[in-house]
Amino acid sequence: MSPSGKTIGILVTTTPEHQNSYTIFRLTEAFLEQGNRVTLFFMDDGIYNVVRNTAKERLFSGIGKLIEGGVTVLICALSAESRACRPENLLPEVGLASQYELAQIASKSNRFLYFGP
Amino acid sequence: MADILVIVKESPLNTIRCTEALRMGLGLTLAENRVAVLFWGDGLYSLVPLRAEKVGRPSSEEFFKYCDRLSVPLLADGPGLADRKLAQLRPGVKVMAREDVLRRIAESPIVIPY
Repeated sequence: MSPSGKTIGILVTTTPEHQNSYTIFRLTEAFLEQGNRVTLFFMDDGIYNVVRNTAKERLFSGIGKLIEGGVTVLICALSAESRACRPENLLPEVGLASQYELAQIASKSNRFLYFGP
Repeated sequence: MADILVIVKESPLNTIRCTEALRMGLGLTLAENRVAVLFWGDGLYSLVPLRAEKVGRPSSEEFFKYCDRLSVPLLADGPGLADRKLAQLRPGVKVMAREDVLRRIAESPIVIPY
């Protein structure tokens, strides 16, 4: 992160079929290019953005590439549990978190964005 | 610490978004953020006494209790209540004029319209 970089928190609750996924991907890429640090938090049906999906015609998510670029990705553990989504079904480096972590992200971010339906 | 306004805008029996918004709103207080929950549109139906479990929906009652204990303000859009002829609300709800609601939204650094 550059000295002038900011911390950006993004909360997402929509599935990969929603345009939000592409918007978040490009927005986060731009944030990173400008030297900012980004944390993505997925909740409710938003967790489907980080499910490991090897289908040839899979819905766009792009989160794996963002993780490779240094983005921290967390999901609400309760949202995952209630959807029978196990850790082994997730992209590598995705962390299970609680609402406490979301509270910390909101508290410490210079900017906090929400993408919902 | 951040000032956060969570907006509940979906009706309580059609989705779980009301209970999820309240769960998240309470969770956001864990970092000592200042959190308020605004009920808007069909989300206002969440403020009348409901027994959602009777129709197989998750109940919000426990979350409302904790909002009270944790001093999370519950705000309601007054004109929206009038439009829906909702008068009997749960205790502790602050009914606001539309102008004040819009000002509150505009002045909140973080708005989560859930």
